Amino acid sequence: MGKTIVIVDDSASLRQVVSIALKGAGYDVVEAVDGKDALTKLDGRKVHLIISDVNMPNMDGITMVKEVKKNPNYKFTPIIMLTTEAEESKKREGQEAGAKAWVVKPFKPDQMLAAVGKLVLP
Amino acid sequence: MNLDEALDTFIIEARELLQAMEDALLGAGREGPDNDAVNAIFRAAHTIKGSAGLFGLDGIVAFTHVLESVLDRARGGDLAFDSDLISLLLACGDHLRILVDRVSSGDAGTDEAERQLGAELVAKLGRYMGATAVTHPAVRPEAASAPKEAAERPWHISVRFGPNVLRNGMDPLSFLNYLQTIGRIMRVEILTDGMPDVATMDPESCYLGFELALVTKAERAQIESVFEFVRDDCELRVLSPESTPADYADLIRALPEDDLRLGEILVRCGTLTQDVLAHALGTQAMEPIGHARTIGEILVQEGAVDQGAVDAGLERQRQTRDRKGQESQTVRVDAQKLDLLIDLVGELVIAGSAVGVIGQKHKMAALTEAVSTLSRLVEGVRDRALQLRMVQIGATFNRFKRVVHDVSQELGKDIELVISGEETELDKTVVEQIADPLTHLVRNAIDHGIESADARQAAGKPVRGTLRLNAFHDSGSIVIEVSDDGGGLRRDRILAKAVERGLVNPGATLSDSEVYGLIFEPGFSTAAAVTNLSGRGVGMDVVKRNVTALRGTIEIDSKEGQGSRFSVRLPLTLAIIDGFLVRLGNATFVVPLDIVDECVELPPENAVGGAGRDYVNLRGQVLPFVRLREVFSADGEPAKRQNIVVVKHANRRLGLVVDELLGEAQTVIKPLGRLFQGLSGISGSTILGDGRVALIVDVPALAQGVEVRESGALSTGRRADMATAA
Amino acid sequence: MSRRKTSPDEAGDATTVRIDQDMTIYTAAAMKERLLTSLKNGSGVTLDLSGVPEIDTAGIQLLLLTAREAERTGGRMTIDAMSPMVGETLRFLNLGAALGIAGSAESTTEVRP
Repeated sequence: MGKTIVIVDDSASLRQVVSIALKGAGYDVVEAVDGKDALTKLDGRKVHLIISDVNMPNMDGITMVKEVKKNPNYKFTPIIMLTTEAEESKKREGQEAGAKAWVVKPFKPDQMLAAVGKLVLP
Repeated sequence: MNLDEALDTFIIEARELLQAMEDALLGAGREGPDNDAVNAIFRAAHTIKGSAGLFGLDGIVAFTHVLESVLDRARGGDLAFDSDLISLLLACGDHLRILVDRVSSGDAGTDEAERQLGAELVAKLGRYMGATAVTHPAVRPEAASAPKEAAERPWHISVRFGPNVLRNGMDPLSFLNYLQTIGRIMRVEILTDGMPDVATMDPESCYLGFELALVTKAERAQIESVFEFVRDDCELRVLSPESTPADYADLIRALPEDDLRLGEILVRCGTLTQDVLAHALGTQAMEPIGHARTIGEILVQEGAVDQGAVDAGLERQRQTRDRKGQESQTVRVDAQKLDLLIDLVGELVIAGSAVGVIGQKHKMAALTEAVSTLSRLVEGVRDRALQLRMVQIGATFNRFKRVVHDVSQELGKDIELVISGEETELDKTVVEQIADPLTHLVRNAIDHGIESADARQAAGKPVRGTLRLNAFHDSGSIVIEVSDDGGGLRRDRILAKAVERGLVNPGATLSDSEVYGLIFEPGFSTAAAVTNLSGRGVGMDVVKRNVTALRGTIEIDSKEGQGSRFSVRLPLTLAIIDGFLVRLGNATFVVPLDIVDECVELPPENAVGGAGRDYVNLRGQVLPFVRLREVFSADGEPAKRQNIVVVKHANRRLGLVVDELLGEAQTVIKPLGRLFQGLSGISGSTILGDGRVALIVDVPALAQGVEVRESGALSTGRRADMATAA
Repeated sequence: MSRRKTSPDEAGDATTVRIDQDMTIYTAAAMKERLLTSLKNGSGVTLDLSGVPEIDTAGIQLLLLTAREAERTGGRMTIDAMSPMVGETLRFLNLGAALGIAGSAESTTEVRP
């Protein structure tokens, strides 16, 4: 029974690689293509971690984080923001909204595993 | 970790993103792209960079990093999107496409010219960075990983978590657990001194502190990075193996808990010995001998350090799990797999009709009935299989935005591209092969069709020319139109040129469509000056040949001074057609069913051919017909009662005289062998259910022949002339 | 019935509380009420944690709070059954003695000065 992680990113290849890495480490993975999709996919299920991009169509990461933090089922769920170095302000904005962890893009699968490992055991 | 499949996804995704970026750039009006477009452009660079990094494609990361930085400035409004920047960004997109293609072909090396182009583009992009320097592209290794041969050493970690960590989703337990992946925790001690009495204790706040001894090969940076997400929310003290008892004395005094109790805890952690503790706490002011030794030395000496099996845990975690829970809306399928499926369905169709033939031959009613059910199902499978390969033509059309942009800039013309019918679907294989001919038609329209701004103004037309691409379905075909509002084809000039080239006899009377058709003759060109574009090798004759190879036709409609329209008519698929079987002598031929209108009996008075007699009156309309027996030199005597299959092609009706009507059958088109490729009137072959080969009648070719015949007849009044001319 | 025998004899019968849900930040507020209520009669509490699927720092903190409060009110908190996940966590943190886990080697008293 692995812990469940939701990965939210509009890039299919990024989701695929992260998903392969996380599943390999023993986590269960749910993929979502944008913030809106993520909120739908949460749908009451037990989630131990959310990994989310900032720039996404339909609903960006910051807005999604704010929504998640409003939901009593997920308000304490850790969130990793995927930011770029150019987005220092976005990182701050994300942290203020409640996403306290971050991984800087571009990252290698191992770097993602390290960040996830600090927050959730498989 | 096998990432091959993910890499394929990346390649497809990158190409789509680059296309989206190009579309957004080309869609920009004079005032520059709107917000959505800028975001789309930024996102393309951003996403490609992010994904490329995952695969270690550092070249792409480095390039997109610079691109992203410039786009970020533009997004923030610090930079104006002028036409120079748009052109530069388009060039960057092209360069990226090449880099992605290289990944796709598994070619790791880089071309020198390519590298140089990349460097030039980066330099040009750099000019848009203004004062802000481009930060270094950022694939960094995880914070200072331990050197391989480093020895394990004892560290002490002291951490007090802030009240909000739990509410933020940061679980101290997880950080401690994670420490076990970089070393061995000898012992953890929890401190609850910070926890208030039950009445005021908030169960969602964190009041805990931890003291722990960690034996690891890692260095300070790596140990501290474990706590990076709570860096601002905790008090972290990491004591290295080099720490002296004095350092521990400082630690103990700095921490809020009682000194003596802390000392006990450190001893229980195994970090300090009673001895050292006594020194540290009792003799701070003096310089006892014990201070010369570091804690590390003391511990190593006392045998606290041994070999660990840290990696074993990691290995276990990596064991593959089943992939349940993966959710996706679409499946990307290798086009080759689809082709294979369609091939098999083709074989299935043939096998199905073979069974049908046996049933009919032996008059087995039950079998025939079962076969009819089966063939209905097979038909369904065939349709679904073909649909899988159907793609919208929109993506192909959108490519022309770039062509129009580039070519019109090159020629200094202002041209707007209007696209419609982009949702019209056609077979992927057709799409792939039609792109080149369409490109030439588009270039031709821009180059020769639409006049210069001056000429347009003089003619009282809007200065901005319009080029239209349109597509729609029409009786089993797809029609793709390329039209412009330019000068139209100059009938007289085409004719004069044709006479000069010896393609037409002087004084011959030709219909408009015949005259326009001349521009498809090899080596025909009426442009007064050969421009850079028209000099590129592909002539209109090649366009025609390509379209014909796809069993398609081109029609031209033109009004001098108002513009012209090229209509390319193509079959929806190249693989399978519903055929109508007819007999000619001993041979069976197939007429594509979707163009068959009706069948009528050949009136007895037309049974024998003769001058001017290849027409029948069909409900008051003249229907020209072709005697297929003559065309294909069928053997044996003609049937007593011949039939006319009335077919419709490009809004014209035409009769095909055959011996017998055999009925419908699905036919899988097989290409003709080289021997038959020159055969006119035949477009392919198929294998019948009983194993015999049938030829597929090339109706467009026959229709064209009749057209020539008609115009000949009209202009000279005598068919005989046509015969000699041919 | 052996459960009763493990209860401290200086007070009356300790209440036995079986917990069948996560002991995490999400359940912490309600869990605090429940655990403290079980201490009301001053005779400590015996916890059966065999039905706890998940425990995090918030849950551990509540166990520590309950143990401290039990002692303050003259009773004792003991844990007589744990799910594997809880057991693993408490062992990792060396909380066996502090949380009154049966069979823990160390005494609970030496830490306090």
